[in-house]
Amino acid sequence: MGWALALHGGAGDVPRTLPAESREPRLAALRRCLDIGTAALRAGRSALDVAELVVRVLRPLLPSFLSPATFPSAAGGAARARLIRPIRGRELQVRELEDCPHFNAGRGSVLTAAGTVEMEACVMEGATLRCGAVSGLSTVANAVSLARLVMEKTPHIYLAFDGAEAFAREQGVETKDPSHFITDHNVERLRQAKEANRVQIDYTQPMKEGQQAPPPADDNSQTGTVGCVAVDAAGNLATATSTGGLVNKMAGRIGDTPVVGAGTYANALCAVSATGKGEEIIRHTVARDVAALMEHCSLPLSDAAARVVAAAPRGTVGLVAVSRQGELCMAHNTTAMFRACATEAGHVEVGIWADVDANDGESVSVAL
Amino acid sequence: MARWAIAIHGGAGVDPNLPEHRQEEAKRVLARCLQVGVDLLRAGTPALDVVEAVVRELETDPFFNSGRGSALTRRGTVEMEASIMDGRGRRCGAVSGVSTVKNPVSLARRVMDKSPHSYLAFDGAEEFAREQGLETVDNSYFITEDNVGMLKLAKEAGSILFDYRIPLTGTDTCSALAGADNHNGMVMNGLPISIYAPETVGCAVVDATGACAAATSTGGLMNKMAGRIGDSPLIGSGTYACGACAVSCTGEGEAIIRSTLARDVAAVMEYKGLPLQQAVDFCVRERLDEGFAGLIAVSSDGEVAYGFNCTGMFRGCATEDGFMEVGIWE
Repeated sequence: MGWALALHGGAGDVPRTLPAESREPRLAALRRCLDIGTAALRAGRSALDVAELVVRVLRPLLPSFLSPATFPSAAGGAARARLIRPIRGRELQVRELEDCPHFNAGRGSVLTAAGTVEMEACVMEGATLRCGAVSGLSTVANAVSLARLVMEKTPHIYLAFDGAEAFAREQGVETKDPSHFITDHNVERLRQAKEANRVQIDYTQPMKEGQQAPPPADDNSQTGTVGCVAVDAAGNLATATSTGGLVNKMAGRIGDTPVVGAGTYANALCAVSATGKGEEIIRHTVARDVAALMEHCSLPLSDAAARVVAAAPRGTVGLVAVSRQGELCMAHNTTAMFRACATEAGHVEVGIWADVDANDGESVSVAL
Repeated sequence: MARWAIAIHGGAGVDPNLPEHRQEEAKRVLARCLQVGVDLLRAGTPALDVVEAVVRELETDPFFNSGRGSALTRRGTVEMEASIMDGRGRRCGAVSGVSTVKNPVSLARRVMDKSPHSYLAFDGAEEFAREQGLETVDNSYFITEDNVGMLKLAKEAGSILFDYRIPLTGTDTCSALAGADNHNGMVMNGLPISIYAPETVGCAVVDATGACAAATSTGGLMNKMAGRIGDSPLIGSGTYACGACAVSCTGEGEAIIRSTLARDVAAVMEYKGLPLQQAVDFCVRERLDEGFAGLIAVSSDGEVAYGFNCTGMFRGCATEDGFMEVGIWE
């Protein structure tokens, strides 16, 4: 027993040759978010608060995942350096973090074929099955927090597009001009995707100035997604997922993230956040199926997760999950998933590729 | 060869005092739409084509009015949604926020067949409908005077109102609604059952090859917030099909989403090994403890089943053995 949390920053085909200068900042970002979640759980925050918070913090880091250019190694990197600085013990005040505008940046979402941004998110609380979801957001800084407001302040579960934007204004949440989310970088990525005439996935391959764009190595990865699952010390389960979707997706496309049971699900047994090829995750109701296998077949969390991931086509699905007993599972059938987890007992893991090896960041296990 | 079977619904949660002539009309429409499906199945039509055709009939018929006469949002607009799923390969398509497409279920089918995605919404869905050349009409076509009046009442009541088919005739209506007795105390989506009415339609089919498919279509809730998405377009909630069965749900959408009701019927069959009717009963009993809803289902073995925990569900079913039933109450 005790608290536990796991988070992901997308799954896909990430080459093992990813250079250290690209790898390290990503691992640092994962560690940083894990530290934030850990500190929040230690401070007695609920699983739902923690899942929402971690996703809020991790989501704006995504452009960094996508582009090494946003992680300047030397000059101009002061803010980033502070961001990825490891934190210690009780140094962290969660409230301060939430109020810190630096974490609300949210820039660099991927663009639809129409050149617009459409973000979506979902939260769910295991004990009550309460949930909230949003799609088609173009100005809201923290989609996941709007999803939570839909859950708490409306008679509905799911609001989308103009209606969701209107609700955001009613609620007075932080918004940005749509142009804020549109950067030179993602405009360029859309151009490349259109040139390749395909739905390009957020991809992490570093590209140098003037370098020929590498062909998208994998249509199925979707590293524009972040998610967090948590169980608090009281045994409450919660999950949150947030995404910008796919580069060059059709305007109006809804993926698995906001669909309860597909990309996001929690009940009394477990909490799950999935990432990967949305269409596969929807048809396999991935998150719900992990819970269904636990419930109907009495499988332990990791077996249930492994079975669900194995049932989907290779290279399409990754997930993080936590059970009420504090078991953790991070499973994927892609070559990589940006992920991290921690338990109250002291188990900490941060990784990218399938197996833990020298190149795979770190895996630290402390006296369970 | 498997045996074909079909089940349809026109919404769950029916006023027990629904006038007799309205009940008869509902049964006539259900029987007619069911027969459309039966004829197609007898002719060897694949399950996926049958569910689309039958839901189109249900959408088009003025009685259930998923198209013209759809419920209005707070803004007075129509936002329809639908989904379809093919049990073979678990392919699926869904649409939300559709405002001009005459048959949303067919747009969902196009999303499945002709787009790289499985779910499109609002402007993007409308644009895709035009690209695909689907029949569209002006949004005002869907907005009836009756519903403008219902929206006004709903706003006055400050509640979310399911579109209802109670014929509205002048001032009688207002007094009828205002004085509507809530005979059994049941509330659906915050409304007394006597002024609530189901809007969703759906169909689940297994064809003679054992292939399963399901489709669901809805106009949503009267006075819903603009942009509200319900259970109908959500794969696993309002609609689901796999190798074992096909399911379409209706009722309080938020309760159906929380319970991922359609997927759970299939999961209980698949993982718990229960037969269809037992799986349906289990899910209605265990998953809907607080919300009111109903569902129809078929299994790949050619069984049909339904279940609901409210006062009634407009429904019909038929099997290759010659069984045919149209009903409203338990």
